[in-house]
Amino acid sequence: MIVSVDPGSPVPPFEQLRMAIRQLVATGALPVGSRLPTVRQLAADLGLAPGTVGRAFRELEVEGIIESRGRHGTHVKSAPKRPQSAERSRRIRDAATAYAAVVAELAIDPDTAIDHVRRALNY
Amino acid sequence: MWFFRVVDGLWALFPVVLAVLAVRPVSDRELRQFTDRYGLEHTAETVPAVTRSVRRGRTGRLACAALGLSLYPVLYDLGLTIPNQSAFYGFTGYLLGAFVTALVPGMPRGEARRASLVPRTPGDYLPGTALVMPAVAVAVSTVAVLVYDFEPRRAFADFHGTADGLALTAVAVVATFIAVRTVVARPQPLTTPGLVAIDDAVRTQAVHTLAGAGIAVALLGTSACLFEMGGYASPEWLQITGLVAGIGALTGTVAAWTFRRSPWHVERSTLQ
Repeated sequence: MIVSVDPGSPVPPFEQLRMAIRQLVATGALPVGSRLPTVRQLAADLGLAPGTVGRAFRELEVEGIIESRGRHGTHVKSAPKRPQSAERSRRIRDAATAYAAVVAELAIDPDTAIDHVRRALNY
Repeated sequence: MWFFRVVDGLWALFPVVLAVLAVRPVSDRELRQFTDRYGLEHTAETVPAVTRSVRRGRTGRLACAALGLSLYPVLYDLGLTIPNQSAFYGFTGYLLGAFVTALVPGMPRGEARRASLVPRTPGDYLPGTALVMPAVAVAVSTVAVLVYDFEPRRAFADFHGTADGLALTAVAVVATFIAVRTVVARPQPLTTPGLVAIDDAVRTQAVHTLAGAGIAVALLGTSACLFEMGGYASPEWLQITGLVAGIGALTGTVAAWTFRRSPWHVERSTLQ
């Protein structure tokens, strides 16, 4: 249950954090009911401003993935809904096309590129 | 006269001896004590970090004690006169050194911006007794002060005690609460699992030192309240209650101070 933020990424830190937590909840690594660290603790550990972490938490709360229970902390409320089959196919195809473009740009061997995907998927 | 000169000379040697002890290399025994206490393994990664931490804590305590011992003669030479209580200044310096080294972060900040989603709470580092003891100390001190002030049949009706004990307890509890929360909230260098375990061990040692010292002082205030209540109460049972409870609180003071060196394994370290 480790999240990381890449300061050099074009994706804003709050979005990286939001996506990381969303993914952990969707895969079940962060079960429903789990308590999350406080905004202050997470911000200190990641070296981010508390407002950045607060924004990621707010957006996840709007999505219904986490909920704040006041003094009892922030908890995982529910897993994000899985998109319909057609939508899933479209999104994975788009992601694969984007990845293929990066592989071509960097002139990476296809087998190496697939190895990277396997490693990312923990296979 | 020669006797006092010898004593003075030996006294002047104390800070030098402490300074030498402060910078001496960390022995294998000290290392093993630390790793056994906090359940760490001896690896190429843990040994340098633990050595640094042990040395840092010892240097902080002994250097501040040496400074405390040197305070009176140094100020005297500068033309400032304070009460000649060098032993007290030395002991206070030792405690202050322990407090400051526990409060100031000792682990290097990790370069990677990574964090665990497992919340850190004081309960990860302290037993339940230590978590409730500050509240118990304040409650008992308050009751003792109230009983003392309102007990109608007390033998010395004109004598009014002070609430110094209660004030000491309250200040110690608030300071401990803030200090422990500060240490628990310190950023965690999440670069390798081994480093997380070391960080938890160092954090545990700091929390135990601060909580042990804070609770010890709080219970000292509680014992003062109880002794005052028992000492000036009219009914015999109240006198005995105050005396016995006061001795109990004093015992708690010693127990709290020795607790800071008790073994503790953070369960969270294995969950990361």
